[in-house]
Amino acid sequence: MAIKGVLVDITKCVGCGSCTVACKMWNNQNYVNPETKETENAHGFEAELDSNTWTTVQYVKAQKDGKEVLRYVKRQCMHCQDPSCSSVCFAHAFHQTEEGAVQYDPELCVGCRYCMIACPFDIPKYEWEKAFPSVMKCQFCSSKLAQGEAPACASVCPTNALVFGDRDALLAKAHEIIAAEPDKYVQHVYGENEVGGTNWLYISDVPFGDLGFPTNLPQTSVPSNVHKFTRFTPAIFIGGAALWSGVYLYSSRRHKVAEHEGKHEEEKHEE
Amino acid sequence: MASKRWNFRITKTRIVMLVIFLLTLLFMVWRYCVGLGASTNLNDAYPWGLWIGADMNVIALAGAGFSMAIITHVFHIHKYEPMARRCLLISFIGYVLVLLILIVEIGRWDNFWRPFVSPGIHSPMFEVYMCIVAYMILQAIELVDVGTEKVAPNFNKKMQKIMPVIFVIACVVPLGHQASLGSLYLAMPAKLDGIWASTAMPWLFLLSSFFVGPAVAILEYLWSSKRYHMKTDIDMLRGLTRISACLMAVYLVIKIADLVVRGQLGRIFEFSAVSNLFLLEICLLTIVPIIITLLPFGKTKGGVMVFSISAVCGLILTRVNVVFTGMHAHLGGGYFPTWFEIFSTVGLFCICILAYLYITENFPIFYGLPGDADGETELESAPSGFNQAIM
Repeated sequence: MAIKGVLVDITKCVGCGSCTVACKMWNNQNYVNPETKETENAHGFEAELDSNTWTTVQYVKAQKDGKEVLRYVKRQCMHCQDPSCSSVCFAHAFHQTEEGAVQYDPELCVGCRYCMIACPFDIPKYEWEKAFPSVMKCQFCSSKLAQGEAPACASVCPTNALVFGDRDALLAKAHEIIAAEPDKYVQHVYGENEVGGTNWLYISDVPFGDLGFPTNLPQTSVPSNVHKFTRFTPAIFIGGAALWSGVYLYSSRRHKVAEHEGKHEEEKHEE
Repeated sequence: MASKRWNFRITKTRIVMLVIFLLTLLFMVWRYCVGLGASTNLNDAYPWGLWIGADMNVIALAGAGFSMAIITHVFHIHKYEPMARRCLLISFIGYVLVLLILIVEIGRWDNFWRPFVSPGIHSPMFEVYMCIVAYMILQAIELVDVGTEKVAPNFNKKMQKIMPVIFVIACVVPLGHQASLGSLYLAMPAKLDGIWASTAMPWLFLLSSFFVGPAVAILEYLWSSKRYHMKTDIDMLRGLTRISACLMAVYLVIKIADLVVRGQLGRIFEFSAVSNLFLLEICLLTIVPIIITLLPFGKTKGGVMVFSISAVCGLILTRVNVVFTGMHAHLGGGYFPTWFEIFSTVGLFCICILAYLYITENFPIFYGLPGDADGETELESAPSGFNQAIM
């Protein structure tokens, strides 16, 4: 099955927050901030992801042509093509579905929180208030995706700011849109190459850095960066074992020879 | 004498340490009930805090076990044999401390066994976990070897046949987790400050844990020599500082070359808080100790002690700088541990110190110390088990 994705056109978003409501409804979540225990919207200036909020629409003030403008940025898991969270998880609690959704399995999680610190977009959040907590993040409505349906958020977007489809087709479409209006759009599809590519893609008329997107990310997969080291593991063990055994045998032999030097000399004389 | 075979002297300090540990156990029950949010200042921005910082340091300092084992058991430099056993013990206790802290730290402590059945083989954390477990088993075998020497000499004789193999494997396994600890942060190339974020990190972590080993060993040696009024062999300690200093020089060269290659050398002279902490780290870890070994002062007991303190402080700073200083700009906000995070770290450290004292006073750990022969140790303060061990 083709890898699915969502194309987010920041210029089309009006900040209504319908997607955040659809997300909460589909995933059975309430509007209570787990930390402050206060009821709050998942869209607005202060909206932040937490264990109970897998997507937000954040209101951001930015500069455009010398004027202050308001932009609405939907945030959720980017669903990396080569996800860091999955690669750093030592209990294999993350996996990718055929559609490219990055899934988390709380059954396997040990709770080391390496995924949280390793995620280039700081997406996974923790249930700090619970005695047996899990990591929480957008699951790309994987059960809907498996049925060929759009995720809850994209299916309710009234302005087509969120478009669901095959990632390849969306990427081509994104390039078409920004090329058609070069004066309006930033000539960059965010997510095309960031950390090796993400299944959620963004186009915007304001530089991505101003909207709070990390812009210093490597353009290649991060796990491959780590594998550059981990692939040495067998070499370290085999090489280390060979080296220490060699030194061990050599130095113990040398000591024996030194101890019995007198004796050896005698033997030689006898010969 | 027989009734005094297993002996543990009770002092005021020891009682205080025991009380702190027992209180820690009590507070741990509370932490398991209320979760990490209420008991710690860890949050979504700072998912790793004091406990992870402490673990990174303890593992690195526990490298003393493997560096002294390589020097004595692999290179067979017999001069340093008195150090090997005590370092095996402090290293093993160090790893126990790491596991104890982790049991408090991880969110799903009941799932600790999952990586064994659902291995995330691409994770550096997996390598760290597996190597530490394997290494602790090997160390436990080495400790059984030490323990049975006195209690079951016949069994001990049989063990000697496999010990060379155990010693060599136990010198290989730590290479894995000491290096992997450095590779944990290879996954955050855009978050960790450029001064530290380097593909050389695994090798630098490995090398530094190795050469700080002798410094840890020296501090423990000087401490217990003072405690039990034993003679100190400054020449032997001096030899260790020289081995360590040579490797420090190698480390310094690699570190500078790495900064030059990545175009970060200019950054270390920015004199910002971050660059100052880096300069302090590199001075304490390498430059100060190297200079001390070159001076006549380095031949004295004071010199050896300053060398070791500087190296240990430098090592602690290298790990703290990666976990906190280098990540701070990205993580933003602030994190300061709660009283519980601090208290539990201290409490678990206390029980480890008590375990160390109990074992050294009842098992032949200080085997081959100078002063054994001339009976200087037969002072009142020397524990009876200790006397038995050397008789």
